[in-house]
Amino acid sequence: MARILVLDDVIDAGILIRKILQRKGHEVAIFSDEEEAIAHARTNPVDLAILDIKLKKMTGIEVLDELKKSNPDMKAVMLTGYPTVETARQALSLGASDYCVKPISKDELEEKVSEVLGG
Amino acid sequence: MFIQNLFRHWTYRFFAPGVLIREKYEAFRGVLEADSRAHELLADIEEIYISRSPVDISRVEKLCRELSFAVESMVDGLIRISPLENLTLREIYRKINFYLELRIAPPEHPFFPPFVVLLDRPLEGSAALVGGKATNIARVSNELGLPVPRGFAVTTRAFYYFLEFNDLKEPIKKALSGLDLSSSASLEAVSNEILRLIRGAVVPPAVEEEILSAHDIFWGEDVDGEKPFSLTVRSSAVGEDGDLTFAGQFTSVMGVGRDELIDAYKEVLASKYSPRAIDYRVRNGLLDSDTPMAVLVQEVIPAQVSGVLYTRDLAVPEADLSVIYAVTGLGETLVSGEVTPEVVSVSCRDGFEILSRKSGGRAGEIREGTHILDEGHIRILAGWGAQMESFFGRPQDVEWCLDCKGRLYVLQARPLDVEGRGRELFDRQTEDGDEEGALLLEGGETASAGRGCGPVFILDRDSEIGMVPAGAVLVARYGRPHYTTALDRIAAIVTEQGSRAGHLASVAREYATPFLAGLEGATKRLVPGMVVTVDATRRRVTEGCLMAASPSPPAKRDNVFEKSPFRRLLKGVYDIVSPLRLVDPASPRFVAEECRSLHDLIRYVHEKAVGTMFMVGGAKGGSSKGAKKIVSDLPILLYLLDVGGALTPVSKDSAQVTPGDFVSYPLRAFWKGLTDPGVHWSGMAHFNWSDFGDAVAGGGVVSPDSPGLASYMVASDDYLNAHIRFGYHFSIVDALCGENEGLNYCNFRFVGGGGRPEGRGLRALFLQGVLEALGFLVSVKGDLVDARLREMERDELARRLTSLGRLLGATRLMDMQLSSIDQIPGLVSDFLAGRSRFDLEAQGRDG
Repeated sequence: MARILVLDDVIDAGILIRKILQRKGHEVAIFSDEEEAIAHARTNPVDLAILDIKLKKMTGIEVLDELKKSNPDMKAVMLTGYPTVETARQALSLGASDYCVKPISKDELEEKVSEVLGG
Repeated sequence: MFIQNLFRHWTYRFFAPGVLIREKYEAFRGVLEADSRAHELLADIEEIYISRSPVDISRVEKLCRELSFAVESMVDGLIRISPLENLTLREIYRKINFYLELRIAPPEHPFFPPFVVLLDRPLEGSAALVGGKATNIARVSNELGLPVPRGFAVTTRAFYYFLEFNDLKEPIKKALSGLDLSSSASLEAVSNEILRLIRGAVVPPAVEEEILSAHDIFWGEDVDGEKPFSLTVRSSAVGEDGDLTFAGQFTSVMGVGRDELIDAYKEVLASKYSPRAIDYRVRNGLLDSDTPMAVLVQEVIPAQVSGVLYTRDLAVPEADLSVIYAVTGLGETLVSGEVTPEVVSVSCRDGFEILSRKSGGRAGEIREGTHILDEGHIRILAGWGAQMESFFGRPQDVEWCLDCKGRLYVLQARPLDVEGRGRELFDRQTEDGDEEGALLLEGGETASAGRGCGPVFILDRDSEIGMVPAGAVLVARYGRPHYTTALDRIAAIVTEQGSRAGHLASVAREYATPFLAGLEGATKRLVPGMVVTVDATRRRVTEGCLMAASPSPPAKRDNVFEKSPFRRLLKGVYDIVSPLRLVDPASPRFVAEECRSLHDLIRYVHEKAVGTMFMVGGAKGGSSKGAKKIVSDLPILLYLLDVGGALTPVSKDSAQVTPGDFVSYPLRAFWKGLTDPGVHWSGMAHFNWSDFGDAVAGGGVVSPDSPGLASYMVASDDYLNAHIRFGYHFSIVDALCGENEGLNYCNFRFVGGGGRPEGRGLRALFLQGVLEALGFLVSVKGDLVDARLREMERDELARRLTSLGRLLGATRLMDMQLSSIDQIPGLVSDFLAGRSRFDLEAQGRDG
């Protein structure tokens, strides 16, 4: 059981991820707004953040940087439909555990999450 | 090789008119062509990974790009065949390709200033900037306060800038991607090409300017103080003088003045790509881009005495002893062995007491009792040695010199390799006193000294080199260069031909693998499996193993390579390229979204393309031009497309045919083999799949009513093209078998997938044995076996086709039960004698 934060500008995508991960027994908080997500992480413990890269105001990379400031031990998985080698390397160097590309299947998401939480 | 002839016999007119148009037919053809290419590339990459070949990563990068391109062509082709069913496929390809790209895209390196760093001031994060040698000497000077020659380092940034400025990165990568270390001609050619590029390039003006002004800071016209009589320019590569020594790999240029400085700099850069340096780097699994060349420029100290200090005695590394070697003049005579040095042994306790001294000099001029180093200097050096050992935290190999005014300098400090050389000395000292087993063979030439013991492995075919087990004594007729790939895991090597001058010998020496060459009768006198001791130093082979058990350097080297950056990167690539999850087309998980590797995509696209073209699942029935389902006792779903004279005229209008309808000569012959009474087709359910864990998710056979389809045959009266898939295994037979002997041929391909890599490799050897006995010309690449046969009389060829049919049935589950190479010759003769069952159940019954 882990506390997971999901940030995706498309709220439906967040709901789908929540559905999948709740079934695995995780506690999932979903957001479509960057600031609300950051505020949540300041006051609540987060074990894992799943962040979309393309957001409304900030990039997922900036959010990752911000979240790591208040939760340095937090794990992070980036999720994007528009991957570039540059942003992937940036995310990994900022401490993201993995960088995943959409479309992602239910199995793959479950595997990645359990891998990251286990390791 | 398989597609060309197929399409000569099979044109779009044979597909149901109106349903399939020419464009789809062309797209399908493109898919099959790309599929064939993709399988070859996949086999290349898997082979590099599984056989642990030392290649440059640029080769892997190139193969990956080609593979990715082939898979993209397959994806595009399938989308052209059936656009609506494959809407997400391109996105899935893009995603997997991105994961691959992320792993293989070369890292970006900074190429902006500083290009030069002065060594007399503290350096931050310096090893990556100025390399190991310059870092060490700067630390000895700045942090320990010991005297060193004045100088500066040209940074790795300058090196990267040099490459960028001259656009050399791509051409160097291109040259390295063609490197084959098993051929010294290839190594030479690759090195020459890169050296030509570097020598033809210019040092960027910004770098040149910084080098010359650094020179002038120390030794310019207007600077007071001593002027050096010349400079030395040497390598300070990243990684050099660390855990791997790169001993003697790179060039040093001596006696350099201001005017020659830039040329000397370029010459040292170029030495990163000398044949030896490339060989060493690749064999140690280091990446070209991660081992940039920094260069150290120092003044030459006019020395009256020079030498080396080891802070440990290699003969007794655990004792607190230092050893000093000293010669008159500059140090090169010591390194080159022209002069015997004075040797002083110093205790590191009790005020550095001198324990022993041995005089040196030129041969014939040595007079005992004369010394070139006085006790004061000896104590100072020993003291510095102790300081450096404790500062760097490990034994040191220190170069030093004494100038004309009696001042000592440290020229260089690097870690001392106590383990490797210590063991060699230990072996040399103990071997004479050992008891020995019975003498088996004597003679030959010491190609690489040392002793090793293990079970004998006799190499019958060159291609079996990948099968030599770890710890074995390899016995072969010749000393072929590509055997180097086995050197890092065997105990010793014995050959009947060859000498110490060969490439294999030089690599064996580098690997510290004992090698006895030119030992006549070795392959006959030594028995496979027998444990023997090879004493390459004393040129004899004895029975048994009497060596003290000690961790062998091969194991250590193995470990170095396995954990190297190259292997780590390759593992990441392999995981995205090779694992096959999509094995069962009947499974609901056989969907595009489940594809994780390029292999999955290859499998998926092929399956779907074939299925669509054959209109599987659609109750077309009665189409006279479509594929017909073969109704038979075989538990595989098989379709046949008659492209002229393959079937009896009466079957023309039915959707199903039976083997009784076959008229095609090659088809009948092949079918006879597939349905040989000895082949065991049923009873699959008894096989205990769960023993094989995740490797097996539903392989074996396609259930008869499966909507999926990958097995089909295209035939005419004298032609057969069969794509047969059993679970993971995939075979293609392509044969022309007519009256004109000159045109007849048979091509056969077998691709594995799934199962354990060892089992797959052994199965490939079994296939090779059988196919060669049948007269095929065979090549094996990892898991892919290709065989060809030309110009054979019709009936002869038909018998071969029958054997191929039987072979497919026989090998269906073979990899699951193969465990040792010793089984292979017996199984090959069993098969040739008519045995067709090799599954576990049959084995249980036989035993």
